Amino acid sequence: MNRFYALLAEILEVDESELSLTTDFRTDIPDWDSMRGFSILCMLDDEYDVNMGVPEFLACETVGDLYKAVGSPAE
Amino acid sequence: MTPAAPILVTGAAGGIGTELVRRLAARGVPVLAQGRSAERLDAFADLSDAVTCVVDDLADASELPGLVKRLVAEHGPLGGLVHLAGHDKLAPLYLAKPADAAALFHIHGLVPMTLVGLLAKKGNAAPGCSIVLVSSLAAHEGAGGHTAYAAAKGAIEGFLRPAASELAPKGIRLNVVTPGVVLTAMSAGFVDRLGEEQRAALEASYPLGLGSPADVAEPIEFLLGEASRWITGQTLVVDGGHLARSV
Repeated sequence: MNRFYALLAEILEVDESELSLTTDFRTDIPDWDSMRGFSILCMLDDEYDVNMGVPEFLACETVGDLYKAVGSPAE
Repeated sequence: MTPAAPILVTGAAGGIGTELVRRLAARGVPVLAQGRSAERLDAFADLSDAVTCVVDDLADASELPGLVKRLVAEHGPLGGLVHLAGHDKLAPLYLAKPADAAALFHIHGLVPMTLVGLLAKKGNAAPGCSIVLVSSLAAHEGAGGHTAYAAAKGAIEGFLRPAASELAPKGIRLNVVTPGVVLTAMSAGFVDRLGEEQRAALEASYPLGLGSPADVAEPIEFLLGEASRWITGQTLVVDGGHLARSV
């Protein structure tokens, strides 16, 4: 969980403490844009071997949705 | 291009590489097809008469002299080189990592420059040897997220003319092909992650449509052959009209 938050926080340019499973990563975080979305997709693939398609990603709203998609890793 | 002299194609297992290898083999041109693993080169199992698989990850530039020496000893001086090996790594500037940039510069810059230098050594290139390096339109426009990749590709475009000037007296030609977006497994990592509107905008920016591997393999084949004997030190942009689109 810590590593996942760290990776996501880096992409969203926020402190890890600002993220929780219920955080809406598009609307609760300032300066959302498509490049951040793209970077999240790359991160899911590179770090967790999860090749998420665009429709599935668009259906994710919260940090928790993304965390679940990568299998809710304990670390 | 001397028909019996083999052409070394790096990145042979990629979309453009596979197309090129098949075209050359179909004309009876011997091909040395480089890939990172034997599995990746399995696609050429049906072409074993014309295609020799070369398993090498190109990870250590200091080992390239030994590789080329071995290939020349086993197959004779090379009739050509096409460098297609390499990957893309998309990251916005604020997420750029030095290790990622170093890896891109290695495979897209250092490796082809080293291979070209090795072909400049006496005995490694056959008469009429032609070298084609592959750049990218990313180095010519605002390809956000591709800064390191574009910089690495730009490196070989800077290398092109000085190198071509040294190679010409040796009878070796060097040219660069600069493609736009070609639908391959590599570009899928980018194209497949676009939203519907972004994908539509991308397609609309290519008046002649997005490229196929054949759209790039054929110009490369032209530059390898006798029909282009008077062309060296040039960059051929193959981009479906992207740079000439109406804005």
